[in-house]
Amino acid sequence: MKYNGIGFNGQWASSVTEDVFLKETKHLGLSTAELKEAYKLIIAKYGDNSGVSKKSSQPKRSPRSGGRAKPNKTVAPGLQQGTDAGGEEKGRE
Amino acid sequence: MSIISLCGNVGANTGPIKCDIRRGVPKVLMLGGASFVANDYATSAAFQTALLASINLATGDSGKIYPFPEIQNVTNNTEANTTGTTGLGFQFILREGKPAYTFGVIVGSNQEKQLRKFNNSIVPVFTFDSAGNVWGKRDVNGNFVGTEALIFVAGKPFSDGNSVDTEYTNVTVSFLSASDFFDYAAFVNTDFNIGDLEGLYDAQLYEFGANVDNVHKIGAKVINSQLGKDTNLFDYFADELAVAGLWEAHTGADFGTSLAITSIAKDTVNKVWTVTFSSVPYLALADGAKIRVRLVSPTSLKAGSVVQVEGFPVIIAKANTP
Repeated sequence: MKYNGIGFNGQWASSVTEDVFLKETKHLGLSTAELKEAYKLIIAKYGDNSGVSKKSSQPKRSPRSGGRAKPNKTVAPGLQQGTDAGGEEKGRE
Repeated sequence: MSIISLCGNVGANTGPIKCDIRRGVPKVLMLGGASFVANDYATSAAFQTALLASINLATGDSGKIYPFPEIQNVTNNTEANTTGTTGLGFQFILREGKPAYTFGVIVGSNQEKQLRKFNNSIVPVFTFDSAGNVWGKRDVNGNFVGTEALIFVAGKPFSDGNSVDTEYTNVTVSFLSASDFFDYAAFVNTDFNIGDLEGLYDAQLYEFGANVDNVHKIGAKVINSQLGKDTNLFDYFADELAVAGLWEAHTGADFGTSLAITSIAKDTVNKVWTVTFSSVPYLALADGAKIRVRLVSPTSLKAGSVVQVEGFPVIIAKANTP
């Protein structure tokens, strides 16, 4: 993307943060304000692909309180051993 | 008198087609392996688009076409048929002579050097004639291709002030097959001007001065026979080439690893471009590591308004500024 006659690599610029962009382009003779504007225009065109996570503006949901607790599972005695439908233990002679 | 005859199986129907087209005077040779399928020559406009695209392909592409300069003189060097005459005066045509021509072109030293790089090559040849027709041949698949010929370009000598023959760079074209030339001849009509059919310039990239860490200065020039007078493409494409997307950089074995270029800026003082590489991968390279810098393909350059140019790369070395 062209800005003030300089051809910026838009795909690269959109993949880095503004801080990195400013650091990498400070030698090009533009003012910080101009570089920031260039970055803003690049992001508008290419999207922000810098991968920096943004803070959520939604309020955090509080943990659930009250409500019905799930019942504990209990296992009936004798079911751990392999039994046939009649409930008799196998293998017993 | 013979009672058995195969005469009905000899030859072919010979009905005349009104307004059929004949070869005109050759005006421009175009050499290269382009193969135009039926869709490419379905209309004159489609063919013209396809041919121009072939001219703009990169060197190394098997479909690239190289136009030669306008022909100013034609000499027919076709070998006479070899004949044999029996003792009683009956003449046989023993062997057909193969078509061959010498075309005189008027070019400068730089262009002559480029033409001579085709010497002793056997290449397919398309011929644009005075009627606007592009001649070649139809191959077995029905595609329109060039007719193979051996090329030799004789450089222009000093003019002798007496003969116009010393004004030409002579391009000798010897067609390999009379059958291909005559029996499989095919053409497409166009409305090209000769000026539409021009080749590309070799734009050699070079490094200018010393780098400052990941910031290098790269120029582009067309080398001229006149020493010290190379053509600086900054004078033609300063703004157009200040676009990051028209440049590429690679490192590593066989230059297989891309190195991001973050920006390209004009350097109007030195008439070159400031090429900035992404600092993290650049600084990670070993000192002296080779970086190949080049322009994108001629087709992509043309889309960026950098026309009639093919870039050739420069190999630079990564160097940290002490």
